[in-house]
Amino acid sequence: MSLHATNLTLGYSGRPVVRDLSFSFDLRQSIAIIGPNGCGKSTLLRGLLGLLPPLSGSIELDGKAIGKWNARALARRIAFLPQSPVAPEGLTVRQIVEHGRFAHQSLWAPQTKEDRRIVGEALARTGLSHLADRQFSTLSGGERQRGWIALALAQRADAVFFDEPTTFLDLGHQLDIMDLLRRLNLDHDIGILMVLHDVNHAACYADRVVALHSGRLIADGNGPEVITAGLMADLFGVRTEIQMLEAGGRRYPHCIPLGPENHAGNSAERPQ
Amino acid sequence: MKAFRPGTPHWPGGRIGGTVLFGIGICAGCSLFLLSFGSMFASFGRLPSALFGNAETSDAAFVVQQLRLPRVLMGLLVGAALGTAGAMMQAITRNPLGDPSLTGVTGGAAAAVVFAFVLVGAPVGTLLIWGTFGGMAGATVTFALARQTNYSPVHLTLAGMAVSLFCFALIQSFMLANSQSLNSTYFWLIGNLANRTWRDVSLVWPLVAGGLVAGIVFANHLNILMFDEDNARARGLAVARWRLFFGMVSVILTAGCVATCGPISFVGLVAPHIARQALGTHRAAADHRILLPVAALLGAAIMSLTDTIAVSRLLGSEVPTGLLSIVVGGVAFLVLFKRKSL
Amino acid sequence: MSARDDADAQIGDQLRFAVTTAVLISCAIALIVLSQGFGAASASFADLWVVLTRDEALTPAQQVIADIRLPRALLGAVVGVHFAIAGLIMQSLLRNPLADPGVLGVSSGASLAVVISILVANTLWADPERFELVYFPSASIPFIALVGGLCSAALVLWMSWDRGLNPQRMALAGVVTGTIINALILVVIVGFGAGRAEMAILWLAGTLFGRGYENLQAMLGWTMAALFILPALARPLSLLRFGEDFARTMGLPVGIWRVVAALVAIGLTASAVSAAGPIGFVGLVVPHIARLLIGGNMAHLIVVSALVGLILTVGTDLVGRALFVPLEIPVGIITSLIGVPVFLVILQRNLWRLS
Repeated sequence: MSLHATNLTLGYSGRPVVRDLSFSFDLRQSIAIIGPNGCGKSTLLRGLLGLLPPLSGSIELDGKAIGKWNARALARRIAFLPQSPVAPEGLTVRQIVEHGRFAHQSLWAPQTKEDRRIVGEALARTGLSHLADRQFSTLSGGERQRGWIALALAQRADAVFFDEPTTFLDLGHQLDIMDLLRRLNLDHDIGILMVLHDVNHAACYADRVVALHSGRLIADGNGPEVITAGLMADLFGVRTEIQMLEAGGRRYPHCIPLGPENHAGNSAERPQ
Repeated sequence: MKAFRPGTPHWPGGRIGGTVLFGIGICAGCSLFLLSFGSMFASFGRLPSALFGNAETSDAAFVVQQLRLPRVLMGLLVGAALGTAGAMMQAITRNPLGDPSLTGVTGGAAAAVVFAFVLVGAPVGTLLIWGTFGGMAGATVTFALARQTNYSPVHLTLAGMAVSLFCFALIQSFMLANSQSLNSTYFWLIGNLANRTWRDVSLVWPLVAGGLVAGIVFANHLNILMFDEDNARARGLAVARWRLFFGMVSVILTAGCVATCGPISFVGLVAPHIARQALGTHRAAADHRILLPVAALLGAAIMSLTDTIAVSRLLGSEVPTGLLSIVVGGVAFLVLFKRKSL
Repeated sequence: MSARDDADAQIGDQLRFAVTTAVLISCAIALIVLSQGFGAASASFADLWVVLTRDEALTPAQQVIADIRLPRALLGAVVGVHFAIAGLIMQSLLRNPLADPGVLGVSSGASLAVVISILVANTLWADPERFELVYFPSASIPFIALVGGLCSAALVLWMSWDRGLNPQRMALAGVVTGTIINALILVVIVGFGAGRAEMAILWLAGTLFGRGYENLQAMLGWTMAALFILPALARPLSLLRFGEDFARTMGLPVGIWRVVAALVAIGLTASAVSAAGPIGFVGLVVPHIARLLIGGNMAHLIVVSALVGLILTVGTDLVGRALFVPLEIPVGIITSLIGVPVFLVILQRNLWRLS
């Protein structure tokens, strides 16, 4: 299952935000998109989901233009978790997760046993079984994010796209969520495409990292290839120190920011 | 509002003069029409003799002096009162949607007046007092609700509209509870200038005069209130006290109109905006010494124009002025709302 | 928690829904029966039984029930269901807890269309010899109202559109549009037949007074259509509450379902308005009560909202008749007196979410 973009230009009301991108994503992998604020990451994600028709160029999922997919069929292939989803009032965690089954249900038919089994499984995989019948609004931030991921899992799509899945979470929950996504990818063969703010999360958890700057693709490869001091300077205008770390038999770069490129600390002497 | 310094007059006199002449022209033209035409007799030529003739001997003189003249004057006075009240409301809330009918004042006053008149049987002379208290109550509730968002225009207006919807539902139940007065109260309820008497005029003109004088004398305070609160306080203004003062003035002005002519909506919103557009330049439009009287004048012009349309039977039979003011003013509100992206 | 506990909790949810529904249905039946015994002419429950079961010569009291009170109660029930479900759909569709057919100006637009249609019918066909109003065929009135409702809904959406829909702006534009249209209705009424102030005020307030089986019939087709569509609409409506992008990626063709949902809501409103006038705030209040009773499950909400709407309308009609006998307060006035404070409470509690 792959997603092809050819000379893709995306934007709002005729003004391009993302320009002339061509790439091919293998959606079984775990892929991260990084870049500074306003570089067009989220716009690209919306385009890849078929939510934003291209201004020019094309996006194809399995050889068929993304706009030609009907919503139901597409939802069985790709699920999506927006950056800050809002839950309707008065629903339990299970009821929220059940919405993920929509693409598999027929309109007048009631919920099936199969639906119930899959929802239970999604809750179990995200470690929420014990909270299933709690009101969603009473959950903590980290638990809520797990709930949303369970919703995406209940959709039984081949791949899940995330728009900054760790914003608004503390450090512990950030790593917890990233770890969960990694396990879903490795153990359950669910493809992951995520827009990430934190370069180190991308380096540590993604098979492939794509860097966007001012709407253009400026680097594409695995972690060690992309996360370099030079690229960090280009992307964010910061000086960094890159260290190679190792965990679970995998070597990945870790980036330590030192300061802006023209930081006052650059010159050893105090200005007179 | 950065370059504005109160007390340094630098207005293009021509623009102000033009606006004033325009307002006076409309008022005069409409008044002449309203005095001359009606179901009884219609002629410009006989107007002078009817106007100055003996009302006891001449029917024409009676009609003009006792029926039409009070109506015309009431239109002008009510328009002026609402224009002034609206301009003050807009200044103290720093809200372009400020208007007595959009902040619960008109609704509260109307509910209190109907309650007093229909259920208590209060004498007509005390209705102004009832109206004032009702208007204060309506405004208090509205402002208390909007406090939470620091009086954001949309929230304030939404709360005000809700308060007036509630008041009008109350009024309807008061009226149905005493069905004898249903028809007369009903025509009062939709805002009406017909059948006004000299007594109404004598009740309203001191209010309008007092309100305008108070507004112009203390215009500098209004000017400073247009700044944000801290800035105004830094200029040594007791912000809360002056807000209350101008709020009271506009409530009393509105109550006077409601007690005599019924609730008339949106005029207070529209008049100051037209005044600002007409005055154009930043300074004159932001200086309430100029803005208040011009808003009053244009309010009077709007009311007399609306009344002329109502009387002229362009729409079949004679339509209550209050209804037309809602349609005209409401559309102006929507245009403003759409354009300003509030 | 074991799988068994899971199942228990789910059963708990179903049980709560079942019990609530049962209680509400009993309340509804009790209210309708109660309303038959109430009014200027006294009638006993035995009379009601006769009317319902036997097809024979009726006593005057039985006649009152058969011709006046029963159709009135049934009409109130159906109108309540219509407004409540319309309100629920609008709140979910627009993700706006303040939405309601009245607040958004849909009811007023529908009313204006009906009033204008009466005016047109009378200028075309009225017999000048007789002082009597002529109407379009009653089955066509809901369609006329639908056109009016669609126009005012479109106007309000356009007015409040400002790089997206802000719930507060929408409510404000709707309330003002409603006020203007109500004034226009009065202009039309006064302009073409002065002296009908009483009828005008009664109609504008929304009343069940003096309506019969004919109004009920004109509306029932719409009720049936809605009952058929609603089971299929429940899940899409529930998804729409999550927002456009999210709903689409969960597999919902958002554009189509938005149009379907809006048409159902406006159709329900228009048919109810053409039968009973704009009864305000039922659609606003009821979904919030239903949510307090059984939570946010959309299928449950639809059922419970319909029942609560029925009870609220029949109940307020009964109160309006009972309060100042022999005077009658129209339902719409009482629902406004209840509804506005509720509106303000919802507004204040959701401020952070609305702006």
